[in-house]
Amino acid sequence: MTSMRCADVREVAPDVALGLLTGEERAAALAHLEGCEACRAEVASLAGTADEVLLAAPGAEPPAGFADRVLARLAAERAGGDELPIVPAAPDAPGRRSRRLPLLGLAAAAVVLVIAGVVAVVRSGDEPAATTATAEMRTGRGTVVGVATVTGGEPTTVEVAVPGWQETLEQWDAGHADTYWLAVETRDGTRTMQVADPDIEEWTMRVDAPAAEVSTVSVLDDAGRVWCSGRFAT
Amino acid sequence: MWDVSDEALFAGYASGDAEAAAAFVRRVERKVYGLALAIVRDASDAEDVAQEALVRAWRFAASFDARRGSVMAWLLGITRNVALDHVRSRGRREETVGAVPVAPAVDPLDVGAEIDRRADADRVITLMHALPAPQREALAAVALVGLTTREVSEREAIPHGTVKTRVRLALRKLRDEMGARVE
Repeated sequence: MTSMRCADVREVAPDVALGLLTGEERAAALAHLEGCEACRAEVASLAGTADEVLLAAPGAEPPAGFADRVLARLAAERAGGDELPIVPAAPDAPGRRSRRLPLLGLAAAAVVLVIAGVVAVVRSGDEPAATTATAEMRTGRGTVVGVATVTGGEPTTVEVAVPGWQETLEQWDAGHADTYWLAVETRDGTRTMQVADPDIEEWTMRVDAPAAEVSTVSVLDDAGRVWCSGRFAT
Repeated sequence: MWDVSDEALFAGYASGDAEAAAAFVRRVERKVYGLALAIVRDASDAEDVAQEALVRAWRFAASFDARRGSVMAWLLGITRNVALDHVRSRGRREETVGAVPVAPAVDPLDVGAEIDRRADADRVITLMHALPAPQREALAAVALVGLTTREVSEREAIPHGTVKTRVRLALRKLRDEMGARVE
């Protein structure tokens, strides 16, 4: 894969924002974005504009009774019960607007999520310098699918284990996304991302911040969908 | 309810408040249905798409993040994705890019909408119309209707590189203009 420089990525930034890149070019751009905050900001800015373009779509009068039919469907969905997924605010991600990717089905999207309860914060008695905290990785339905562990040290590391990740991908998203990401946020809002190798189910990521500053960790795809996420206690 | 913001109405819609839900659907239905129709080009299919988009928006309401944009832009993004899925499953009709619509600079039918929301949409529409027509049409074909630059190139018999350049110029110009207006 040919590597891309900032100038190359700036050239194709609108294409990335519009989800127009494919194949190696897209992979190369995403690989650059992973490590370049300035280019990520450029793409995010253009993606925001692309979102706004939708407001320029022409309005049209729907058929009579449209609103009533929508409301009836919603009432039926609500009566259906307990399947209400809780979906998180999908974090920014390079290529989050990859519109060539089909949306996941509703059930799959329900896998999406955020929020995670903190399991424990443990300070190792033997190694007082190494702060370790764990958080459950949860899906949109609140299902615990794995665990994240942050360990203090030089550098701070975050380990994420999602047993069954391979199976999940095969079931829900096979072939839909080219790249999955680990995203770690610290309490000052800084986000660090790295590609999550799709062929394994445990990833380790180095973070340039004290362990106590790590607030959340998420697994997301290159359309910005959060598959699971864990939140560490303050 | 017309003086209530889109975001506040949407919060009611998400929580199942019947009055808010009805008001929200009636507020957004022309835009949602209009975009669906622009993409799928069939009234019956457009209704299916628009309904599905609104149901998805309700299901995934918690994924809306006001820091990243308006409810309307988010909802239209969902609508566009549902419509594109639909088009992929049915096969897209061959049409020229000139048929890709952008709302008229003044939309006489868009009455009763909340003022701030209209201001957002009006601003984008005005800026879109300020672009050179070839750039506007190329950007609308890609960003609104979901064509690839290759598809635009083939339909319009324009070199692919030219289409890519037009789209890039248009999006950058729009972004810069919108930023300038905000500041």
